[in-house]
Amino acid sequence: MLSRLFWCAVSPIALFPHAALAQGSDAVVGLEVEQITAIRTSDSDVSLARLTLLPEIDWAIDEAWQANAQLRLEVADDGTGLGSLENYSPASRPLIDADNARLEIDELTLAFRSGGTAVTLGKQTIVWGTLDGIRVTDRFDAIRFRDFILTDTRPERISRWGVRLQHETGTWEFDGAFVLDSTVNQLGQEGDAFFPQATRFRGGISAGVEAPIQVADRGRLLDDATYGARATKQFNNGTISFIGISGPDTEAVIVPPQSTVDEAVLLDFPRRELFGASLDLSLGSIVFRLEGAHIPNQPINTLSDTPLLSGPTLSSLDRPRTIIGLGADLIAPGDVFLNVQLAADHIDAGESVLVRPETDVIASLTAQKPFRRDTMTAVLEFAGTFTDGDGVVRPRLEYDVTDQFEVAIGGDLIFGPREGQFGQFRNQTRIWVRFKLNL
Amino acid sequence: MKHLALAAAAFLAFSGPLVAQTPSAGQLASSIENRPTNAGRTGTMNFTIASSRGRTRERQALFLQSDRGGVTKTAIYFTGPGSIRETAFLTHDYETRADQTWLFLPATGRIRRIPSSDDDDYFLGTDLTYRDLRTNFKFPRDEWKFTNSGAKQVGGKRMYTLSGSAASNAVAQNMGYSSFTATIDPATYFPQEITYTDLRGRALKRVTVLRMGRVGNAWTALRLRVSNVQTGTSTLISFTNMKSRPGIDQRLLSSTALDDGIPRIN
Repeated sequence: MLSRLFWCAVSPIALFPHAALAQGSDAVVGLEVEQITAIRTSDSDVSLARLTLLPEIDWAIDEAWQANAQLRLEVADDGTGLGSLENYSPASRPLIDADNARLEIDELTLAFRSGGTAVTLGKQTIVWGTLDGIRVTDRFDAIRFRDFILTDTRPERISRWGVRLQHETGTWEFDGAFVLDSTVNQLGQEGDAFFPQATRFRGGISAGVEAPIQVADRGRLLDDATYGARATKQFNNGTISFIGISGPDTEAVIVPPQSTVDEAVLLDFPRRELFGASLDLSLGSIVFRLEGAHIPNQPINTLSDTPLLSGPTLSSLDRPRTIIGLGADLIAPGDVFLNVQLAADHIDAGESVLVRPETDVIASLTAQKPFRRDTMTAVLEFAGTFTDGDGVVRPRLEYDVTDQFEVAIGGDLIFGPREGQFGQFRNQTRIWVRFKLNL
Repeated sequence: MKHLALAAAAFLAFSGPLVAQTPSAGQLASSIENRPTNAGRTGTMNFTIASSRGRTRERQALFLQSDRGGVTKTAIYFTGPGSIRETAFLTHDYETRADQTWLFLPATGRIRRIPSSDDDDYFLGTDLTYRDLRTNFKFPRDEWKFTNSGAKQVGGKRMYTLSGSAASNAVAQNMGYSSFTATIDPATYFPQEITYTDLRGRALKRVTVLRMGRVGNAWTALRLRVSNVQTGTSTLISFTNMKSRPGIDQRLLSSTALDDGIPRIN
């Protein structure tokens, strides 16, 4: 099986150049190979062992047409990191799904560009917003949460099938996307290191409670389509964007049974609308970032009088949600890059009692220092919440052994109460080593 | 990083009469400062970054630049190695207001406005500082006091020489240099070699132009080496397929173009 997967993944890059060169077009092929292994400090067990191959083809057919394809072949040891597939749409599910290996399409697009107008068809991601890893208006894409937020880049996106139209005129850019793909997220599988534990991420059902949960059908193309638009204006030293999105949320709610208490509850991702704006502004040697979003109908589980399961009594409501975030980038003395961010996420509970705090306050700090002529980089990250008093500290050291080969070593030190966003994984503190090869 | 392409433009000049009389230091600095540049140009950049032990790293990039209306726009799209392919960098340098800089990292998919670096920070692990790139290897009058000028024979050719010291201690701290000595080609007013000293007056860096060429109606350095004489490191920069493009599409030099992929320019 592994051999078959490997050849499925890499054979396109072996065959493609010949076809492309025959037509006199520009084709570039590449292959990234990553191996990451993490050891949990509490019991010295391997909590993550995953090999990822990302073969890629970029084909500039002519000055107007461009095609891109990237596959994702992942091989992982039992229970250490392939993630769930139940929240994928049928169209986005892996081409091959074996016990310990998968092959899926990471990107497959055909783009036409003429002047300031571009149309992109295919499996793609839509990156909006301006903060790093804190999603305020950046809520169009499906997200991988199988490694929680402890990934190289945040958020880790899942591409989906759709169409995107971009048009520039003067200092304005208009961007619209329509995605006919109901994929919403990828979580850790039950038993994995980062399978959600906190009650707030389980719709109010405590970890360990046996729940007859049925996952909502993700084959509803139109009902679960995502669409959105963004208008961006450039001015002297900044950029402002206005964003509207409609589509299923990436955070699940548990929908109680409508008839009898014995019926299975439904894990669903109801639609919501988002209206927001983002701003980045360069003032002197500091770049400021600001984002705000309002979701008038955020689906959220609340405690209610309706009995559900053996745990708390739950219901699901749509409540107004407002998220505001700000951040700043600067270069500190000694060529140290600093990024600091703060965000508040408030849900107006009204008369209801939410399964999460009404307001979450989240902060992050990143310091990055290159050494040895940029061949070595030391990074220290902190992310955490003031509301739960939890967080993660992430030191890492990256070393470019050659232009093609990188080694990195780091740790994720997680702390906080068991019901916190970060604290739920406090037993998953780990050290890790990563090898990356780019050909 | 941001002014790397400007480094190439720095070496642009037009042919002038070879005068027998040596100009004053101020006149010579003005002639260097007033070298004309192309309104637009594109080319392929190749870096070879060598450590003191001789280990080398390579970088390749597509470079686009326009210089019009009081703003110099420079875009650098990295084409290799694979780990940085499609990383794109854009800077708009204004005469009358603060520069603007953007970076696109393919892994994040986001075009990011980034803060300006300090003048004495090194660019992308090379031996060039941002200040080296920003000043196009010219010698701005607000940074230098010109102390001497003269002439000498180099390889059978008569060259001008120009020396200067930092205008103040604060300027020296900001630049990372306390003085310079340059050899100038009278035909192009283009420095052929510049030696900088550090804040304690010790030789620090040597910039050597190895090959020049005419692009449109302007001269440019097509191959140059920057050596740090204290650390033993060096950076070789060469340009290929350099073309004058006065009508370059300004959209390719806007931030919104950075995530379109590497432009295809014929």
